[in-house]
Amino acid sequence: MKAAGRLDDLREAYVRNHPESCARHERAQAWMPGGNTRSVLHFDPFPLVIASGRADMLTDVDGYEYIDCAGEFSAGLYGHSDPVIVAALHEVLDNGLVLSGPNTAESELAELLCRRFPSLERLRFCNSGTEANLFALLTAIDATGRKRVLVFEDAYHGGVLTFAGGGSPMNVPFDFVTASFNDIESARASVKRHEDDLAAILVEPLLGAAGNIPAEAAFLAMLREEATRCGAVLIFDEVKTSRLGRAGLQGHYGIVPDMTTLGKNISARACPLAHSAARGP
Amino acid sequence: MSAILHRKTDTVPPAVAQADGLWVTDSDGRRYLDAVSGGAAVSAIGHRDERVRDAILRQFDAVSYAHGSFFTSEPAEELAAYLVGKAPAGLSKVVFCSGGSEAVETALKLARQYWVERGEPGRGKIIARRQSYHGATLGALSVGGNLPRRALYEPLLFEAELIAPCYAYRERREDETERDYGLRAAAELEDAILRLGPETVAAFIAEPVVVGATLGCAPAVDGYLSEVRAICDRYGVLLILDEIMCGSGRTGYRFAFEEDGVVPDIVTVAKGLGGGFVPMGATLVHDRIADAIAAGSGALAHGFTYMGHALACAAALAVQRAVDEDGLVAAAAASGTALRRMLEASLGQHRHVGDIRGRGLFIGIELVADRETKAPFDPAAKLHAVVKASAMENGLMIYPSGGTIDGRAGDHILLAPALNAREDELAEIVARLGRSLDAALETLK
Ligand SMILES: Cc1ncc(COP(=O)(O)O)c(C=O)c1O
Ligand SMILES: Cc1ncc(COP(=O)(O)O)c(C=O)c1O
Repeated sequence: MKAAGRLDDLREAYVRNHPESCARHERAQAWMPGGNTRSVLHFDPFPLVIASGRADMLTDVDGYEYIDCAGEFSAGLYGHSDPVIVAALHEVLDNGLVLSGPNTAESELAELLCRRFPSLERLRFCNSGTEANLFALLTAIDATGRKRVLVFEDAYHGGVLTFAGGGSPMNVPFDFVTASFNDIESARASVKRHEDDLAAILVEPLLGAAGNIPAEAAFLAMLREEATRCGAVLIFDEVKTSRLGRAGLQGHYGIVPDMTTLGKNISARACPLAHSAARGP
Repeated sequence: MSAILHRKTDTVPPAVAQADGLWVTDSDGRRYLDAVSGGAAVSAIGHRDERVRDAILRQFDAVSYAHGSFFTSEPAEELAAYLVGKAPAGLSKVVFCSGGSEAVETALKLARQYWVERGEPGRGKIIARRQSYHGATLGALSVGGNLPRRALYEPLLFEAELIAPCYAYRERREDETERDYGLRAAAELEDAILRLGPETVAAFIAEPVVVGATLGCAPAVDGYLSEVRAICDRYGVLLILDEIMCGSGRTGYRFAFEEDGVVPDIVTVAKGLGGGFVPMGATLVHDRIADAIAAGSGALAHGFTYMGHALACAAALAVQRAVDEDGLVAAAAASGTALRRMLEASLGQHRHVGDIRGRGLFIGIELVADRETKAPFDPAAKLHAVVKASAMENGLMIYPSGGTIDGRAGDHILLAPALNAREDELAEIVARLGRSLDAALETLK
């Protein structure tokens, strides 16, 4: 009772103290469903609208300052507006953007990443982690001539690849089967059951959105072994986990997938950038 | 002026005056928090203990010493039975001595005698590992793989075959699992045995967790030691495990090798055995060695004056009983986890901390100039020595060493506090360590 009353007080204070965020949210609702375009950033009664950020501090439109512990949901490795990154962006803008030809930096970045991650022999760039995962899955489906994809309960691989609470109506209509993360025997049984149709196993080596649950080394080793045995493509989603080691978690575990998807951290959220990368046959 | 030829001829270290628990006081009244059990993983139950004191006084009033060729003694018999009782089945006999190096000499000589008793006198070679340390005496130094420590004495040493240590931080490739790496590292033993000819190899000696002084507690990875055991069995080579520093409960197991699920043929223990109250060492041997000697010459070809010193055995027995009474093996496991967590929190993201590793309360921190490339600091800067001096300034005893990687380059810090260190003491160790490290790095700028 007491706690609920306190909560109401806090909510009221929040509304009272953030009139500009409130007004902007109301305006946004006229043009965007729910007034936002990235559901994870929304909370009731309205989210803070952020005006600016510098290093590890954020300022909202009502003038309040916050220490940023969200770090752009793991992507913001260097905080906001790191001078080295800002200078590089300025240089790009000064030289002109989207010039309808390969640019001067892409192959250098590709080399750097390939040298770093053991599974990367060659890679393609795209614009988001979601997109990287879609390309990886479509590539696996095409390469194997099979359709089914094994994913894990509670995994998040993008807005259209969400597997918490039994999936999402917004998921891409691929032929998914789910198994439980870190459960070696049941996951092995799933692979066996579907092996003739299995195009890919998509796994995040640390279940990020479900609360940063690290994979057991033996679980990943089993997936590696089973994928090799049945000819499915093992895809590590290292969109988030690439930040956890020089060579991401694959380097930590010493387990090399057939394809790796990257995003978030490698662009450190200066501008969108993501990769599907693959090992040759 | 000092009449002692000190380790550094131009400096006399501070004189220790008193100590209690994890706190050491010098003759100027300065206090130091002891994060390495007396300096080298020795004082396993801390400084001072009433039970040990009583045991020493009681034995002193009875008898302190009689030579082993005349008498055995009650404390020596009891201690031997106690150690064997804690060891895995098969390790059934004990030979006492006064320290680690002597225990290793004993082990090497027993291995040699075993093969002669067995009618295979051609087996005389020892395989050991690079970057290992097994003691300062000439035999122990001969099987030590730390080249700078050997160089001066090279003409006096016998030749041992050296293979790679198990050093996952630098040797594991990013496309190989720890286990695969361990198998690859162990395969070097098989290669060495085949190169030398199995009929010439007496034993392989290694530490389950590589010593602080030379490799900074790099632990055997999962599967490494069991593969080593299997290779030794395949070629009849004896396996000697040196637990002088990592044994006696320090890793959270009575014997560190228990965690790896292997049983060696010979084990050496010292340091924590006497807990620093007395100089003490022991070599435990497997039935098959004791039986071979009994069935052959029936006599131990080796002996020291101080072998089973009654007073020392009484003290060591009291230390070992205290370890069990106070549940310190389990405590070492729990405190080791806590200390690791604190170190990870405080130094895990430090730009010059490359690796935090070890087992239980036996922890190594490898320092690097660059985490990304793992490049070491310039050895000429002697970072390890600067860190040690800085820690002493901050009232903290730690054990830093250089030459981690190859005997020349690399720096690490060894932590091995008493098994009964309290959580607040561990936190204080971590706090002082952080300050000392940063102060040391500051001077390199
Ligand atoms: C593991 C994982 N995969 C994929 C994605 C999707 O990345 P993006 O939001 O860039 O599409 C995310 C985003 O949170 C993620 O955490
Ligand atoms: C593993 C190991 N073996 C042997 C020794 C030699 O022991 P002592 O110095 O007691 O002779 C040491 C000492 O550091 C050691 O750590």
